[in-house]
Amino acid sequence: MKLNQVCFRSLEFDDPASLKTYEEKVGGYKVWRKILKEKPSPEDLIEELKKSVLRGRGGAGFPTGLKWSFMPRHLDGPKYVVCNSDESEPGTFKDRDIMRYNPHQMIEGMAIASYILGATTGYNYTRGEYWEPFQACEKAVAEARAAGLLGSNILGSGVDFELHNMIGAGAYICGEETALLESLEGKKGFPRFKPPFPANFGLYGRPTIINNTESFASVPVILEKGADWFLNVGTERSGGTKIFSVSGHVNKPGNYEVPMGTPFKDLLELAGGMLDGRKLKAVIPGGSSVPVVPADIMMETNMDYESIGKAGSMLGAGSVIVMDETTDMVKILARISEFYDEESCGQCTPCREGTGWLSRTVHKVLHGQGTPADLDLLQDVSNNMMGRTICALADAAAMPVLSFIKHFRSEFDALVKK
Amino acid sequence: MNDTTITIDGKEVAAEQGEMVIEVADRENIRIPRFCYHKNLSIAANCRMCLVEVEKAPKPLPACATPITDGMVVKTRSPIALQAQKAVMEFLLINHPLDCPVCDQGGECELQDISMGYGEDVSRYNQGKRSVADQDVGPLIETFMTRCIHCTRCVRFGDEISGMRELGLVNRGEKSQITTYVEKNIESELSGNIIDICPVGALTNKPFRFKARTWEMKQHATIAPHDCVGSNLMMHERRNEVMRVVPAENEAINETWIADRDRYSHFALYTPDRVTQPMIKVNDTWQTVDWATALEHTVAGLQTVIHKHGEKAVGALASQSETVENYYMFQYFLRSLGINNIDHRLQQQDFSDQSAFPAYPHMGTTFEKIEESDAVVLIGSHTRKEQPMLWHRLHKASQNGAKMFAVNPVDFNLIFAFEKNIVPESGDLVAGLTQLLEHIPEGLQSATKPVILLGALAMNHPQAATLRSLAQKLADKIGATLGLVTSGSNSAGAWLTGVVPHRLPGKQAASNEGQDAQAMLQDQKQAYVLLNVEPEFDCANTGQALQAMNNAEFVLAVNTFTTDDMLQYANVILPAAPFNEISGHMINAQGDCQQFNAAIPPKGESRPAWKIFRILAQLCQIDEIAKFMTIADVFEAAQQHIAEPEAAKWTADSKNTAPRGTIRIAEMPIYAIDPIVRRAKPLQETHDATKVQGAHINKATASGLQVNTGDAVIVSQNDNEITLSVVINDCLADNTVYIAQGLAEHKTLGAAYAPIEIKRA
Repeated sequence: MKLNQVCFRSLEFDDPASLKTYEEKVGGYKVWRKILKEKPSPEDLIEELKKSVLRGRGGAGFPTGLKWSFMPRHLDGPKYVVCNSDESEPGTFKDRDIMRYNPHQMIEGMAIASYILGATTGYNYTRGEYWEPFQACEKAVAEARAAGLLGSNILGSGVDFELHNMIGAGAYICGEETALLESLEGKKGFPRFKPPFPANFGLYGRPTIINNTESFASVPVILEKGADWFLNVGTERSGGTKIFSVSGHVNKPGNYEVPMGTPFKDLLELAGGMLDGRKLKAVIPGGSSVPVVPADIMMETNMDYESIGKAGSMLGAGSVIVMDETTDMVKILARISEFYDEESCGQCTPCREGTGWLSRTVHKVLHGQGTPADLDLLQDVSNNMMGRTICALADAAAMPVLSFIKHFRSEFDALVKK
Repeated sequence: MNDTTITIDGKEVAAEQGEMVIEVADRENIRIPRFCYHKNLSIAANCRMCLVEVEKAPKPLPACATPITDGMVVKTRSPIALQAQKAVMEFLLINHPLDCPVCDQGGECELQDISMGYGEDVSRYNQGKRSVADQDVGPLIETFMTRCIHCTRCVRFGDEISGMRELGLVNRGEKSQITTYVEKNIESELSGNIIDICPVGALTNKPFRFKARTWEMKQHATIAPHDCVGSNLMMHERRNEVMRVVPAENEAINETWIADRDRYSHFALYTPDRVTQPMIKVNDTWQTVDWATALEHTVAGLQTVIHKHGEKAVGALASQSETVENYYMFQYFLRSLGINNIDHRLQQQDFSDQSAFPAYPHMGTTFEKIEESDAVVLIGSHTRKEQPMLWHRLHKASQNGAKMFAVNPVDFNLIFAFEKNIVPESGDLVAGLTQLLEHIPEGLQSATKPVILLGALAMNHPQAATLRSLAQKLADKIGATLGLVTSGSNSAGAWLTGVVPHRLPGKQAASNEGQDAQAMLQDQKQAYVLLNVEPEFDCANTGQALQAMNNAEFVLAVNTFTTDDMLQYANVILPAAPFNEISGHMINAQGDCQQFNAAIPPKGESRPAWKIFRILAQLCQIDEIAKFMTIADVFEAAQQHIAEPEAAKWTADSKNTAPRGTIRIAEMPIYAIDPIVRRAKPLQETHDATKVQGAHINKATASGLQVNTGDAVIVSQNDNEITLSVVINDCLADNTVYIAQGLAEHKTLGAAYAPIEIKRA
């Protein structure tokens, strides 16, 4: 299995984050220079992206080419390209490494997007805790600007694109794209009601393309090597490679960029296998908000959107949390629920009131003070939150509760039976 | 319109593209529960109470934020919809205190009402409830933030309607709270509306708190008597006592809002200086007497003066906020006695173009049309404080992209940004307007629907006629609508019924033209008749007015209230019932003649002023008075003179010269505008009431005088000196001193735009 073919392709070289390495060793900014010179039709580039079946890497998995085709490209006035590097889902740490080790590829991806969409300004929004990656991006943007790859009239092409890095203040909700836009505008990070979607009404009410770091970083490689190459690396409906952030009870936790469709058991092996040789109990395959999958199902599952969907969960941002047989599932759920209680923005009633209710009730069960009725209540409250709010945070809080109780009911029962 | 059909609860209804489901349902009387949605605010879609089932949608959708599509099938009470609504109800109630018995909102609480339909009897929530500290946000609004359900209507109101972001949502999740962030008062002059839009008891009416339950009160429709908007009100009364006032909806006038002045002024109605018995002064002692004695005394007093000095020795002043009926009988009585010195233009200083006035001064456009204008020029108008609901329309126009221009004596904070805002030196508005006329900004030149409004500060300027003719030139050049925004609530009615010295009812020129309000005070009269006027507060030159009253032989006050000075100068005080205790008509700035009925009977022996003048006329043996048996008879007589707004053409110039030197700038501040407002305690406690005190000067003037904020200065006008404390206010131009009118401490001073001396104390 070939690793690091797309977003991490700079990793094999020394000083991977530098412009020198990216240009000379990796062969970066080739596509950007070619576009500036040849001015290909944006429609063709979008077609290429559609063909590659690049799906949004931030978690929702929406086809990127399709999303970009919705943007009113010919509208006059400012349009924006925004990179969502907020990466706040517990268990996710892939964008951090793109920004630390291959920031220029993200910049090139955003530049290409700006060309396709006719935008002249871009923002890269990193989460509040990402000071080091933010600094790496600042350095990279400065390098690119100095090399004339960003700015106005880039390389004499008449194309303008200015890019700014921006650091958030540490709110999970600002990873939700419309909350991110609000935060970028200097407001409180409240998700907006959709429609309208950012493609039509985005930053400052202008057409905006907002994509995940990994999605942007994949674009130069797709356009360089061709949509067919990318698609063939992955599966038919999940093109390319995916970085999986493997954490938990494994010997070598870390980021692994593997082709889509890699079997979970191979990924586990890459991560050095189970810690201390203990048995796998369960995996959360896409970050804390997606349903947990028990070991037996997970060991049969491949790592792509469809297969994980069939296993009853979601690929999400590719954050694989591995839990061994010693794990107390109630305790894990209590921690997850507490997180969502802390991070609910408070805008919609079901989420504002429900996250706290869930968290306190799970804690009650954890501390042996629950009753069997509390388990029914947990499921009922979760169902009442799912799909009833402006953004998906309520679903993110509800899905772990439902899946943990569904798959590990006995552990909960043991605590509520006196 | 109505190009689309959707089905709601099995009923096929017509709808318009772009409408939300909830709008269509509301129109069809299909009630969908909601908290955050308000038709005059932006859509937040955060309470989730209005979730409904939409066929083909995978999950319930919020009716407030779901645009209709042709053929859409909506079910508001299907099992899926009801389950979703009940679930949201449960979430809303888990942290809401069940303190309805001690909550002021109890009985009119949206949460309480909807929980009757969607809530469960017993809560499944058995954990600790959230509690939130309350805030003191000033004298008008009481907070009880634990009850808040975070619908954010109040936050959006501040953003969108009052234009002041005074409240916000801080913290996240369950810890969210609505707050002013730093401890501060809510100061918007429209603030009281957040009480109405708050669906729970988190924001309630502070002065009304714990006074009455909603089911104990009866509600009566009436009209706000403080400005020329004529906001529609509902007055809530219990056992013949006014308990509170809330807005009545009228999209063409006040939409769903009212100004705080209209909401809280009723607290004045029960102050100790309210007159409820006829009073006469005998040998310098006041006696409370029966009507017969008082009327006899009045007629004798008036007739003595007339016999001794003639009809010309009598001056009659009416307030600017009487009903058409009061005005009509006022002038009918006086003219029947041959008295022609009749006026209501108490603040005005320039009367030179009065013959050129149309049947009545009006705005030239409608409130709704103002919203659509693309450029607005305000000349001498502190609209935000003079007519808050008119300001709201201007604010909306500005939000819609209209360019705003102004020529004002003070750089007033009107919230919206001005393209050009001229604040001329020495209050020389003529110079300011000339400057605008000579260099018409591009944004104004290119406007397609411009509006020019002359406010009170222009109407009361000594060169008001010149201002009008300059405004006319500007209007002609740019094709603008030109309008006058009058003070008081029924200046239109006063003009139409002949409460001006040069016209009889219906624009007929008076054969014996009387003296105007200024002349009849300048030229000492032997008798004065006052209708709800307190000359030492209400007139342009209060010092002079007070002196005229003090020197008169006989003063009759037909008033709702007395003042200390009035007890000195008046000889008879007849108790006139205030607006809420009478019926009648008032005509607003856009020409709506609105009828209203008495909410409660007159207090004590008070009577509607029109009845007082009718009986006086009867006692004076005026034969024809017999035809005015009822209020309908009076209105019928007046009605024939009520005309549609008529276009004016202003060409005359004022004879007065431009103010020069150090000039006093003065306005009737928002909470000193009339006798009722001046006595409303909650309003007097607001920042708006207190901040107008003192002598306001700019930094340059202050440094010239070597004074600082808080220092004492002596100011003098009319040869009267008073000591005031300095407020440094850089909204003022050079050579101007702002000293408000309508305040007791300033009563001995003179007129606005007149020279004033100021020196260090």
